[in-house]
Amino acid sequence: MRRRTISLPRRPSLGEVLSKPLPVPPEQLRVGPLKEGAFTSRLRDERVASWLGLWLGIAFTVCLVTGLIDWDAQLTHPFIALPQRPARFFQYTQGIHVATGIASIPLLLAKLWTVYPKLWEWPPARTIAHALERGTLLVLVGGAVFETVSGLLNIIEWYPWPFFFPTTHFWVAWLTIGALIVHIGTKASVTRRGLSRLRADESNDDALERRTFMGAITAATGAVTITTIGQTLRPLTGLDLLAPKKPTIGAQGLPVRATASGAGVTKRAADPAYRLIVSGAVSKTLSLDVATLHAMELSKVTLPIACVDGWSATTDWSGISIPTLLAMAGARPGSRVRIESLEKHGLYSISYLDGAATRNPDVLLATHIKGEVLHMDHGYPLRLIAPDRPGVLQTKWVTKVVVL
Amino acid sequence: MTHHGDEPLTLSGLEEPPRWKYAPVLYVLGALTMLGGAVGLVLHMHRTHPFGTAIYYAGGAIAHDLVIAPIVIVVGLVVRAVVPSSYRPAVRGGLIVSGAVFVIALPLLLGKGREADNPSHVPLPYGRNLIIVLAVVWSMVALLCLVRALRAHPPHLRHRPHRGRKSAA
Repeated sequence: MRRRTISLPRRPSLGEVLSKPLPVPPEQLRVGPLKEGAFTSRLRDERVASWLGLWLGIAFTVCLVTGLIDWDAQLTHPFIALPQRPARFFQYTQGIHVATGIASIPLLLAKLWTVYPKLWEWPPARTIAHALERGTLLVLVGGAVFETVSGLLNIIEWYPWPFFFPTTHFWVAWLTIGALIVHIGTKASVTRRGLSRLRADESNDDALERRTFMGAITAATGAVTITTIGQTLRPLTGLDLLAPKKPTIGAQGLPVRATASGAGVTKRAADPAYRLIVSGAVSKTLSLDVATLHAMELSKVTLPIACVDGWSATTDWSGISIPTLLAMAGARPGSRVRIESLEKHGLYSISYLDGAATRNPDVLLATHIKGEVLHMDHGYPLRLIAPDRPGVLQTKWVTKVVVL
Repeated sequence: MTHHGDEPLTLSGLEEPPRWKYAPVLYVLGALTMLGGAVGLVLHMHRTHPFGTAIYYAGGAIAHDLVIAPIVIVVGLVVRAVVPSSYRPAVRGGLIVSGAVFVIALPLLLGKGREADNPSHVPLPYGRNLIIVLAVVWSMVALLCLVRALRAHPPHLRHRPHRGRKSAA
């Protein structure tokens, strides 16, 4: 009708479409938690939500960055190779990744409790923009729960789901972070106001109750951290009560991620026919048995094994340094090499060392831990040990070094 | 957003302040990032198993919103009804800390992830350890309640009327 009277119909702008009010559902549907005033706690406050949002934002950013460091390190050709020094860089980033993920569980639960009434707001969607924003929140909440829960179960190696953890945890992280970026856009101004009101909080009963609530959340975050971080932070090993690994428990005082029997290598590793073969771009192919390897001049290093699951343990290793081995085979120093395990099918049966690593005398094919021959579960007869390397790339049961 | 009476309110019952002027930049950036995540999940479907991922994705949020949150709310209401207001902050704090510790300990308590051939994995007596942690937490709660009680009724104040009568006599 209107269109006929207007000579040049103007198409509504995107902003107008998005902010056009949507029909309100009939009031009879407004029952239970949808009712006005269904939630009564005064702790559900913009100030508390802002404070929690700030810390969760920091925690998720730390998890993203440290997670990306691990993801990059595990690429066949990393974009940015991890440095050879400090040797403990990866141990720290990975320890921080898991510790921050665990710490964000109480923060996330508290945050979801605080904003819970918003889930039941009425009308459910005021405008298309509001509906989109709420859809994004669904992605954010689902993703945040997914990432924390899947991470928590991964560190104990419990996989009740059909997907492969590392790949899925990685891609869902992008969904979550994307939704978080939108959320920061929608809430930046309200968060800023909340935080400044928190700073200027009056000293009345409500403010006191808020402060004790925030204190309790801080204590909960501290409690889950302090009872788990001992799996990587040595001074707190004694408080490691609820972590899936303890740095002192395991064969030769060192935890094990993949066992020899689990990898199906027990027979071949113990076989007298075992040889380390150094081949590829070499002037002389080497074939060395265990006795020859043990008779060689062994280098000693003290290095951590740092698992992507957030635990780490440092020990004294001895073995043949990679630069020495390459020199023996007449390979060009600083060549890229491929390390192959006796393990036939695992995702981690092959790893690569770049030029910086093959020049580093601290990069070993280890034969001994603290002077004892490697335990089978630690990779007997030979395992790779190098600074700043994800534990899964410290290849065990090494049988081939291929110079590329 | 022209109806004045219908302006959305924040949790504190205040009107929402105007959005940050660069917010649209973040909307676009966030949408592209989400798109990247979704495309990645689909492109790697042999590993990500999008259907299974979707079930767990939605399941996590639903389990929180319809199970965990209501339980927490009911516990909160019980605390409000049962615990005297002066002890409430300490008891609530104890419950918050216990709940968080319980959540991270639960998979371990269920004995999941145990491997017969790997004694170094999940090697600790987690039930006992959880009890130790909870005992420490609730000792602190008891201590806080005691401090609270003593502050409200200091022993010397309790005795003062007695002494007063004596001195008057």
